Amino acid sequence: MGLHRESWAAVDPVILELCRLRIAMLLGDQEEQARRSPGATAAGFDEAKAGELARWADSPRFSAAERACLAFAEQFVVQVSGMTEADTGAVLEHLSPAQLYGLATAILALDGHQRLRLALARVLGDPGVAQ
Amino acid sequence: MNRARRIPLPPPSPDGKRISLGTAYQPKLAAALDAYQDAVVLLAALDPVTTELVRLRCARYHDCHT
Repeated sequence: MGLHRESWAAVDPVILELCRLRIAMLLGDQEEQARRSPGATAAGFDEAKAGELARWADSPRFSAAERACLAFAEQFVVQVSGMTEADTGAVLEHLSPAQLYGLATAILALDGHQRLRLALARVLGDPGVAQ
Repeated sequence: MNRARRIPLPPPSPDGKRISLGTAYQPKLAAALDAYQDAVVLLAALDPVTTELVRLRCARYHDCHT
């Protein structure tokens, strides 16, 4: 899909992979948690970070930029209407406005994709989607 | 609800017109998002009234005023 292709082109693939995996954890999407995005793997994604993603806030493996983006992603998933200037300001300490726009749009695409997958599998019982 | 500007606005175009965030910052990504949303709106599986109710519910959840 064009939206996903452009999302991965617009955002640092390692940061976006961390956000994708964290979204999958929050939504309980095991298939998305198990797979890795080719762009992130090619960019040297650190598997140790995936193992510590549940405690990104206090793990020394994560950079300040990664923490700000993960906090942004969590707020987006849990209650996007509660997003504040503090949330975006923390990201803007590390990313440009254009990069933040890209991150927000990419997270929208990833979050929507995973929610749709889960809805098809669990609510509609679509056998073509793994639960 | 939070009405604060969350992503800084880009500077206006040379002729003074406002430019959307997407056009200014990530034109390819914004075009892909527009194409995706256009395709969703054109889906015909649901009747127009139900589609509009879902759209408005999503807009309220996302605090979207456009």
